[in-house]
Amino acid sequence: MSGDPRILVVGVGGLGSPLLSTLCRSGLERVTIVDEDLVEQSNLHRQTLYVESDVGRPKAATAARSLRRIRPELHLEVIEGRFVPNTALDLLKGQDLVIEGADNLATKFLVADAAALAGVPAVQAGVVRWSGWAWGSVPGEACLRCLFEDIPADRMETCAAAGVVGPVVGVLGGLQAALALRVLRGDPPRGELWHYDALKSSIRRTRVRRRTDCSLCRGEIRDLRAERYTAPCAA
Amino acid sequence: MAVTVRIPTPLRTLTGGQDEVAAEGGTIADVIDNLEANHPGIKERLCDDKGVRRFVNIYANEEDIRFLDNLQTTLNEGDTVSIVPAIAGG
Repeated sequence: MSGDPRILVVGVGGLGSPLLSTLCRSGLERVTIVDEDLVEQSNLHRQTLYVESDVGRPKAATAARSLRRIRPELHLEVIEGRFVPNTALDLLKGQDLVIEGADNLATKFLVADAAALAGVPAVQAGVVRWSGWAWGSVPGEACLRCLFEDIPADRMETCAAAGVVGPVVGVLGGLQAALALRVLRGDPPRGELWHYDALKSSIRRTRVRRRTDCSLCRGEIRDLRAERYTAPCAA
Repeated sequence: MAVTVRIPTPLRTLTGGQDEVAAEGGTIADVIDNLEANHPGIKERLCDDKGVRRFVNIYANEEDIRFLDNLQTTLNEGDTVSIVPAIAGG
């Protein structure tokens, strides 16, 4: 890895745990982590940065403590709060990459939009139950809105409602770390969409192409107005 | 035209837990109608009155049907149709 890349990680849960513990062992020096949640007992089966005695503590600060045990010299900035529209672009300033492992689609779309507006590559993923997806995008190429257009208004399953199988976030978080390293070494995964299904033991790669009617790629989204990220089922 | 349809985890409650089902149809639209006949409720999860729901991707083999002929994308015997919905959790 060349230079001294700066990485922003949004969400330090099931995906954030494996990707951070892997990336921090890979020579990264500067990482900012953002999460507003507290560690819950129900997180422990998959969120490997936390242990029983962490229940009730803020995730971001607790994750930072775990990561410093892994690599004391790591420069970590901790933000105990939600990644929200009015601070998103400021947080992306000077970052070389944003990695998102949030548990809701509103944040996933916000990260995608903010990354595109800020000209920062993004690596994102989503998991429910036994399966999930991961992918990477770079400015000027296919974005999350080329893939999933917009936040669904109904019937979305989230990990809180449907559950997540621990090893599945391990696989997808590890895959995110690999995609992130490719971005940082100058070989970004342009439009690669990876699907993992643990029940079928299958992993597939498809290619997402830029849609000519994508609202983000067409420049119709020029700001991060809050109402865009508050669909009924956004959280 | 007999094809195989890969069913994502969130929709398997409609297919009795099956992760792949056989379906008949010469186009994606036909296949969705055939799925609905055998697994009632699935069409509404895939389509609205404008077509395929915006947070669902359907692939004919490995190609996104939005870059083909959308619901009128033709299929050949033995093709695989994959349904990929947006998944939120982490």
